[in-house]
Amino acid sequence: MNVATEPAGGFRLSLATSVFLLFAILLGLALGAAIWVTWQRGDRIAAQAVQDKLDVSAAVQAELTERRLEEVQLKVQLIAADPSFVKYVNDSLGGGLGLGTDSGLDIASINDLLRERQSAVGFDLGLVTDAEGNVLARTDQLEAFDQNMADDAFLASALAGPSPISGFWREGAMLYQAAAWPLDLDGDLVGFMLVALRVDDALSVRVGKASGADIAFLLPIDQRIAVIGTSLDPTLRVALDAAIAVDAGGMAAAIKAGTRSERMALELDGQSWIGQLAPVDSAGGGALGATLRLSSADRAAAGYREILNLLALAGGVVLLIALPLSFLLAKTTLRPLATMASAAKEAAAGNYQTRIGIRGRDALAQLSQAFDSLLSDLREKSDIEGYVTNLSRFLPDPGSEAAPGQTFVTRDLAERAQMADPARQGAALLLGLDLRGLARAGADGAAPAVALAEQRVAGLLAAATAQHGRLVSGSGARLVFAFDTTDRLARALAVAREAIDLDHATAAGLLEGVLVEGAVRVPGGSLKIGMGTVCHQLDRLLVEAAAGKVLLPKGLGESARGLLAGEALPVQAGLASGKSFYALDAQALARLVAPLPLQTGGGDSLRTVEQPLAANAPTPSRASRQAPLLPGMRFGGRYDILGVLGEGGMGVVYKARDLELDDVVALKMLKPAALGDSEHLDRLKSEIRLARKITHPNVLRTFDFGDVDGRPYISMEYVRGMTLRYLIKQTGRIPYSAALRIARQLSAGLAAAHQVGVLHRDIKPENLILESSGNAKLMDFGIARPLHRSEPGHTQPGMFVGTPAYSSPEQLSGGEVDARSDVYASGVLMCEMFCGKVPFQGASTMEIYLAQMQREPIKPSAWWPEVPPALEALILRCIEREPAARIQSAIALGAGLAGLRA
Amino acid sequence: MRQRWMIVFVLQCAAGAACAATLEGQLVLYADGRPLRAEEASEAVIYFRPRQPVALAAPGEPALMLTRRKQFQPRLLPIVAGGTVRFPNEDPILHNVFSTSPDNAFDAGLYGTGLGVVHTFASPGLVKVYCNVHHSMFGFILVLDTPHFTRADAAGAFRLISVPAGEGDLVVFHDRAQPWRRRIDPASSGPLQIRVDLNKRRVPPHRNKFGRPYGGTPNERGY
Repeated sequence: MNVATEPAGGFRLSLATSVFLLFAILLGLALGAAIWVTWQRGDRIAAQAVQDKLDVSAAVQAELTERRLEEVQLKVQLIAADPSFVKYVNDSLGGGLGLGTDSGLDIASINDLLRERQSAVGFDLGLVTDAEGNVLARTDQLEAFDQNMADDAFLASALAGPSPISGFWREGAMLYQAAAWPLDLDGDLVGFMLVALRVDDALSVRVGKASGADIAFLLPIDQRIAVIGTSLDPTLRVALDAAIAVDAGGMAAAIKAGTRSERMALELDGQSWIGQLAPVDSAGGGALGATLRLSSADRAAAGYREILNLLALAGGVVLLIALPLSFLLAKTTLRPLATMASAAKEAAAGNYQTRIGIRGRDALAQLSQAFDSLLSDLREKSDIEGYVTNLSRFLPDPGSEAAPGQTFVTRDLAERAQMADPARQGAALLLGLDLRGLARAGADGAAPAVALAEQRVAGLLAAATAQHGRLVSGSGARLVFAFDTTDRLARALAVAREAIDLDHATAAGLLEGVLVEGAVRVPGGSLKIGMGTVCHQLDRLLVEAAAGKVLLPKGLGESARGLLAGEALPVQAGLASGKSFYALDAQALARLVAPLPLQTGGGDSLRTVEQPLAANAPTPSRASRQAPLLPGMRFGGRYDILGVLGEGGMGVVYKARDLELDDVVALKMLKPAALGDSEHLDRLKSEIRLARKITHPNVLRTFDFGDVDGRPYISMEYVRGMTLRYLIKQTGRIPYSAALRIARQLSAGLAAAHQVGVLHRDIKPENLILESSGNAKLMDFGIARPLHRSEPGHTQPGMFVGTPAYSSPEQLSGGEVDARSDVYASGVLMCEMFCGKVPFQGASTMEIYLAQMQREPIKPSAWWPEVPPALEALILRCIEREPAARIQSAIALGAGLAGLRA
Repeated sequence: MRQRWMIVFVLQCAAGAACAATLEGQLVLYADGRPLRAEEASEAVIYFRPRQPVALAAPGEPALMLTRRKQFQPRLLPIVAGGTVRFPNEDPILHNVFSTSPDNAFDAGLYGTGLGVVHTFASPGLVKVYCNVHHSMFGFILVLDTPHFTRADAAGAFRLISVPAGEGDLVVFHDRAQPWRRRIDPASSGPLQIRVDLNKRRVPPHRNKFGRPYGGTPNERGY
């Protein structure tokens, strides 16, 4: 496991924080951009508005000025064109002739008339001059000062005409709008009349109001610029004075030069103003002063400023709300990622126990669900590995390659036999077996012989135990079993048949009598002994027996007749004495119609019935039995026998080395009878052909078929592991996650087989082997038949082939069998695997069949209360009575199992 | 008392008569800086006013100011205060003679060809005479309070005889000029060279800003 390296130093942000920061930055950028753009545009638009305002106001102000000037012109005309006024002035002046009443200049009269006219017409200043420009009377002076206005620029042009003139007129520090008119008496110039209206604040205010922009009239006085009239507020006026004073030089120069200034920026009282400077009278030059049109830039921009402020405020509020919210959202949304990250970290460290469990359909939920299933896969794998590793401690050492199942049984039996009864006495039926086949066992050496003997004894012990018999005594030549159940004769005969089937050289004998059993201690262990007259009699009986025959005394023979379908028993003369005995050979024994007893906890129900029990079963034509293969032998020039793996239903399974391919394989020896029957052989070959097609990690591979010296065999994949039966026996039931994994693998392998077109027909825990890695392999497709029979008539209807406890109803009744029967068997297997017990209990095939047809299956929850309901439902669906109601295929079963997660 | 004043008066007259002087000189009229022809000088009236008022003898015959061809002739008529003027009309049309000058206002009414009326002008001063019908007709009557007045001759020379010695004002009057005045003592002054500029300012008919005459007919002569 690699240790994840931390990023060297640096600043690590959580994903949520990064997303949130990114979002915050983007939001801030957007807001900032909006504010900035508004600011810029707003400023520009406001500046443009100010400029437009000023330009518009210029036109309005010019118009207003013009109007006022016309007003002054009319007023002066009103006065000066009045002939009586002119005559009055002229008369006041005198003719200069010095004649009679010529009294000289009468200023007072002129003054008086002038004032009268002022009050009538209304003007700020009026004055009357004579023809040379000497001022005769002024409304702003009571005394008649000696003043000549001939050099006043304004009047000078009037004097020059003499002609009327009007316009701006500056006198001293005052600016007026004035008009001058020649006083004309009969065409003679008497003098001039001048009427003027002052330019001051009143005028400025009127102009400002009408034009929309403020105005200030500036007059250069000495070295400074004076504001003689303005429409601004007093405070702003003061500020304007100050502003002008600051920039007096430049502005004065501009004013004096009489230039226009399109745009001047001024700072008045903290506000920003824009001004336009123009000379009052373009004709008169800058000396007359200048107008300064002003517009408040701030006021124009105020609207936009307000928008900007609102925007900033709203933006701030949005930020305040959105940022924490987005932070929360990011955290909430991305929390699953964090959980997954930490779960992944844990998993990398070996801890698979986390579960994320996010519901939903978005990508994140899908990711978390996939993650969960990954983790549960890993959990199961680690569980089953642990489980299997734990159990593999019980595996035998690689040296002695006996199948653990068998070993177990042997040991158990032996121990049980020992512990059963130290010493007893009673009536019993004794079966003696004369192992003549072992006589020549020593031909290949001692060790192989002993191994063979062990094997033979083990087989016979198993058979006897299955029939409720027990070993009484045994030696290399002879084994004696005792039977004391009610149907002991049938059982004993069954054992005898078995023994003869195993080795045709065996002779057997049956006797009844009283027996004393016990075990004597000998150095190295204990020795089973049996005592009684019957033992001796049995010995003598065995001598009489021929190979391959069971001898019975008269009484037992009569009883046996009933078991053998009432036919007459063959009689034979004893070998030694020549007396007559009932002798049953293999053929006769084959007619034994004893129902196979089914018992719980082992027994015949677990033994595969591979041959139909009908009478027309083919008997092996050869009586002799093949010599067993021993480790070390070379088989067929290609295989080196390494050891015995076990005894299957069809024959012994050896572990061998394939010398051609230098690989270890398993060799399954088939019954020689298979070769003899060509039909049978063809069937076998076709089934092997199909089985070879299945290549799946959960199916034990079949390699090849061959026969050596008349011994047919199948070469298969060699797997070192334990059968499911062994595991169940060890622990009662398999832990949930491990069992789930096994079930899934079983359904996968089965699906592969069905896809090829092969049925298994004999799914049971004995046929499922678990490697030490936890991988399960389905094996022993020993009685598999093709799904679609190419040659009809091979499997005769009405025959039962399979293991009763795991067989479906249609299988037990001999009906049509298809993939759903395999599903049924898988269901039964799963029930036993998960819960410990099968759902239909019964001692015999009949009982089981009745249980299937008449009763409901025992619910898995009855055996294991903590079974998940989904699993229970799945199992129950597998073992539905009607095939149509079951899960229809192994693939569907696999899908259903995939839904269950540890 | 009155006899005493008579005596003084006679004595003074005698003295005056005894101190008689002669004023003579040359009058040249200038217009626009250039001298006019010599005979133009006869348009002006030259008179001398001594400091002490001089007794005025009433003239016998009334002076004549004719209306001929829609013009007053002579255009400038000097008389002595208290004198009379007759305004005969030699035109075949009706004319009117009037004046609104102070102290000497009169109105002769409309009359056709004929001798017209006679009016006595008592107060000295300039009397402007117009015709109400014909606005372009104008004449001046200069009512003097001194008998010493003359006109220049065709050569522009003038002579005032029997002018009493003593200071006085010598005035040259032309209707198109400002009155030319000088205080002189005839006894001690020699021949005078008088130059009078005809520079009395006239107001041209002015027009409004559109270049048009102001409302109504241009009234050159208002009254």
